[in-house]
Amino acid sequence: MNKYSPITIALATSTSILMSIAATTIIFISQTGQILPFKVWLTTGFYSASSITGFASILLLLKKKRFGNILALSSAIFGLTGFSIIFISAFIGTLKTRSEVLMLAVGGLSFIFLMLIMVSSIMGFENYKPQHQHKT
Amino acid sequence: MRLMKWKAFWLAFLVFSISLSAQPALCDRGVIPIEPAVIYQGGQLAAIAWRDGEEILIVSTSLYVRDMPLATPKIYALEFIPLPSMPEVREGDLNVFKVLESLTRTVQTVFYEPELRESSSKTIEVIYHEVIGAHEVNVLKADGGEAVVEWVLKFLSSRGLPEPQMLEKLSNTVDSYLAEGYSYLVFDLVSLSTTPKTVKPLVYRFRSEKIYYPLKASSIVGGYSSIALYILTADRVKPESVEASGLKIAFEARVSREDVEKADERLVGFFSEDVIWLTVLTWSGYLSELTGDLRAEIGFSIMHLMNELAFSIPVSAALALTALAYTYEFRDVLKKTLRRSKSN
Repeated sequence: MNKYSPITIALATSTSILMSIAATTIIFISQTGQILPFKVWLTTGFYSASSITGFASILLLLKKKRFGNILALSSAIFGLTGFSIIFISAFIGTLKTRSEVLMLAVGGLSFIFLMLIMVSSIMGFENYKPQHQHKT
Repeated sequence: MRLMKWKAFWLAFLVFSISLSAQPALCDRGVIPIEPAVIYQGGQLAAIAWRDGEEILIVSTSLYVRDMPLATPKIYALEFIPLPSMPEVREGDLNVFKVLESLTRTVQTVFYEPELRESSSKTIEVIYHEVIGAHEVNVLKADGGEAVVEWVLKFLSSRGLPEPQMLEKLSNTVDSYLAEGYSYLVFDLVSLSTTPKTVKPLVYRFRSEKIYYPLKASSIVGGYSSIALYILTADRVKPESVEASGLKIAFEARVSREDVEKADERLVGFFSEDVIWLTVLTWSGYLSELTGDLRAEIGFSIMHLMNELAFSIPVSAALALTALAYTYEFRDVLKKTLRRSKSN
């Protein structure tokens, strides 16, 4: 584990928790019969993907595996893609449902964290020192 | 073109979600003010049940006027609904809307203002006339808008009422409906007061190949308004069939027969299924923008899967990526496990 891994782990954990809460809320709302806009579903999909890869990266990073950084980076990319979708749609039109506001708020809250995850995971990947296990 | 269609469809999805404190004002039928007064609608509701080419349409309104002229003891409005076939008309109960609202948690309020216009023959036949509660209902079979306007003038004159407004618009609207084969025209004379008064709904039962709702008739009056339709069907409404009308699907869920029975026994008698689909369609905007009627269909549509696909594609990509990363990082462990299983 290099010095960037703890930062990536902390950031990935917090954003993954936030994203999974948002995705669960949207799924719960949809179960009531409410028809949610396509962009909300697309954003929810990306946030869920971010959450899945974020949680998955934690275990690999704890195990000092290089691909933990790849998963953390992809988590940040998924999250930022979701946020971009909802942000652009809000920018073009107006937010008309609570679910859209929720997705935008979650994306906005995690935006800085996602950017930091990107940086820390790239740095972590670059500065990765493989562990040599010599068998005697 | 395809992109435009997609855009229009997803825009239709955008507007209302049912949990949003909606303020759908309703104007499912054309209202022709007889005096030059501003007419308000407070909570006009409509429910539709459709199965195998037969439709039950329940419409109610609470029209009222503001600043009623002192010299006028009562103000009347003539409501107009074009239908594709001869309807059976009955008085309904407001309970149907209370129950349907409770199932979807929507709230309705409405407002629209008429445009003040001056008025403008062929054969016409009154095939049904009945006073039902607060409604005086006439069903006409006509072959021209001018004949209908003449009948309206005669009918109102026989009731001692002045010449209504927007007769030219009415004539044009009737002509366009007749051209589309909607030759059964319902005229409902309702009296208005200065306080919001909820009129008991009228229930129309008629043959219709598709789920039909006359939106274009509402364009007779101007102003900003909203529409909310509660549609009960045996299967899901096809989103693409709703798109052309400009309405948006705001709510869609399966409800039990018991719930529908609470709303109206006539509605539940329409279905043999244990579970019935309840769809809420909403619209808000300027009435003059309404250029087409609702002619929806039910059945499977690829559009029903779009939201699921939008959600599952990124999730699947994430799962695949995770699986790849774990397989790569734990390839030695996997190899060992495979070797052991082979040797055993």
